Amino acid sequence: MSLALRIHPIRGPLRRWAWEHPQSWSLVLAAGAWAAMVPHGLHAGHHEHRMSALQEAQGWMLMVGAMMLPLLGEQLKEVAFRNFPARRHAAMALFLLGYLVPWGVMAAPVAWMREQPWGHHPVAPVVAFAVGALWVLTPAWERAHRTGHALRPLAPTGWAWTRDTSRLGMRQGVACAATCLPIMLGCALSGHALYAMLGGFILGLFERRSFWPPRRRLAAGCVLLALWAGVLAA
Amino acid sequence: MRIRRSVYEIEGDPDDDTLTWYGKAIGVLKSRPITAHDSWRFQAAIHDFDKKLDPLAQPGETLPPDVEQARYWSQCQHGSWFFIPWHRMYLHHFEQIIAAAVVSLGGPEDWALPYWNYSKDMPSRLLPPSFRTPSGGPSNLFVAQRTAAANAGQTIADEADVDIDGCLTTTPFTGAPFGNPGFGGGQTGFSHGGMRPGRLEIIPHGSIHNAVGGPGGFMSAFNTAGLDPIFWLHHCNIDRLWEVWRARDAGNADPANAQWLSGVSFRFRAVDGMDVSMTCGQMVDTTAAPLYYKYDDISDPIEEGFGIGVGVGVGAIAGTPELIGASDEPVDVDPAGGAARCVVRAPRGTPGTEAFGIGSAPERIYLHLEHLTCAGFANALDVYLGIAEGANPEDSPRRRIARIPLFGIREASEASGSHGGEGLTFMIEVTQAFEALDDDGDGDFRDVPITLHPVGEQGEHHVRVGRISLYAE
Repeated sequence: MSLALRIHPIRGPLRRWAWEHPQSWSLVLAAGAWAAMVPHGLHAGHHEHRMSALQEAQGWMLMVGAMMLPLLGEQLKEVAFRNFPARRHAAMALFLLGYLVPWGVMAAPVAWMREQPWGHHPVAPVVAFAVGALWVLTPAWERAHRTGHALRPLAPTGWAWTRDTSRLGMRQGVACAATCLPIMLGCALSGHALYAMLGGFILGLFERRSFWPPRRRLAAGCVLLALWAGVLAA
Repeated sequence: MRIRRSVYEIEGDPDDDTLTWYGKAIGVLKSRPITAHDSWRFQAAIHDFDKKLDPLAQPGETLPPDVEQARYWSQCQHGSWFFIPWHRMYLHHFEQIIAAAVVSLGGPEDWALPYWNYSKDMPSRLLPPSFRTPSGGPSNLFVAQRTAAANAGQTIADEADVDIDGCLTTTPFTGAPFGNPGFGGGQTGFSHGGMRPGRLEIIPHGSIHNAVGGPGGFMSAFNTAGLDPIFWLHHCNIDRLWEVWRARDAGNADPANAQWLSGVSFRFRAVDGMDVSMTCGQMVDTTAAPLYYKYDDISDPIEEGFGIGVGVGVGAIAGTPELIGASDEPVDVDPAGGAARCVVRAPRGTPGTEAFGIGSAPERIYLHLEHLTCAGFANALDVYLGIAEGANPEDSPRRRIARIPLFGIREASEASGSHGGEGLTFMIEVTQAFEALDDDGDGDFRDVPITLHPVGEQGEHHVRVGRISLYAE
């Protein structure tokens, strides 16, 4: 072709891999969050140590990062490739900030719950997971699920870029929080127990990789988590 | 084995009663309640069903249980690599049900669906005569809910609407993200109205739907398309073009991806009412079980040498293309207001952006029309490249780079729909058009003017194009 147009040269397998997987740093963040949560999760339920509200809020956000970031790979990649190469990583970061806003808003009530005497009761996660099993079978869950996957046009530059990118993240964050809230609450109320976080994460992974929204299987997974929490409570 | 034949060949043979039996069998299906799996409305609802917009709804009528509706209705796959195989499954079961009705009426046991090859010549673009005859013919083939021109036997489609060179010369089957849309569409999950249509799905599939249906017609909407008897002949032709595509070039192969072949199964009610699951892998050979049919003509309609290597998405390039330009804001196309124009701009002075500096020359350039939405029917847009502001695009036919039929835009725009209202998205290869611009001396690729011109009979609502962008690889 004789066009004066030029595009980025991508030479070498490593550069090509980085080009094709611009979202990979989100997995590093998730791994860091898991590394922070696992020691805590292993000891959950074995001690009566109470954390401050700030620590509870931090724990909530770390848990969201650990469980949700690995599930956002496809969305992040979409956002990246809808941007000029120079803006890809900034766009993904902006999307993530927007995504985390609704989860951040929830951190305060979650911390408050954990301050209450019933917030540490071993039956609390059983109730949350049981509610989660019912929630995934409702039409409202299905609506939120659809919204959580929907994309919107992104302005390429300027203030409109900031607005569109963060708004898309926030929109998907709200939908994601709406679909996953009972499970995430169950995890938080279990004291970020490893079984709960791993179980919830596997359910999320299963949902992302399914062709059809696997509502009944998700409900069954929530029931299993509730049963396990019940066994531990007993 | 059933042989599917051209409807115009059948129309031309006074002794051939295929269409007579088709009309009679439709009468049998129409006599059954919607709760019956082998009724006319149940079959149409498999494609899509919207209780609020059902034109044949009867007050107080009973619908199938919610579980059955969720399992079998509104399952059509669009904007996806499942578009072609899912519709093959759908046609197969419908053909079995019609054929059973034909036999029950004393007709032949080898009855097969005909196909409507509108791309053959000018006369074949007209709606076949038997389908526009309210009385005196097999009248179950007529529906009033079409454009007046279609039922009057007038021209409803132009050369661009029935062009098959574009899709047949496109490889591979599976579209690439942000690049070549492929023959059969991009890899997706469940995709009732998705964003990765292949070349076949765009034209002639989408254009013929809207050309026949027009504003308010059955063929123009997912939920009513199957209520028009011509729908099945249209899709039979789309199905035949899959066979033509594979037969014309040894390199034209179906996806070998396990996710496509067997990773997903779609559920249908068979002719005997049994629940059956089918995979795309079962759809690749029409002469084997469970399909057992073939077409009378899958010869290559493209003259030798034409289309090969002319830059219409031939072959795949490894790597995801990069964004090199985008419109700043959405573009509204008013159906009554003529053409809309926008400029796709490349970034200026952004540190690290080398799109117009050093680097390598792109091998291909793609224009993306992203997130097209509309509250009602919209027919099609013609896309022009490099037209001066205020100029009439129709005066510059050489600058037209694509026809974009907007079949399914209303469904894809519904916030409560299966895709959350993200709209339709199209990817068009424009490499040749860019080279032509360059040759004409208009090759300032920092500001690329794009003009969108509404085509044909339009609806009342404006079309919003969320973003227009350029990608290069």
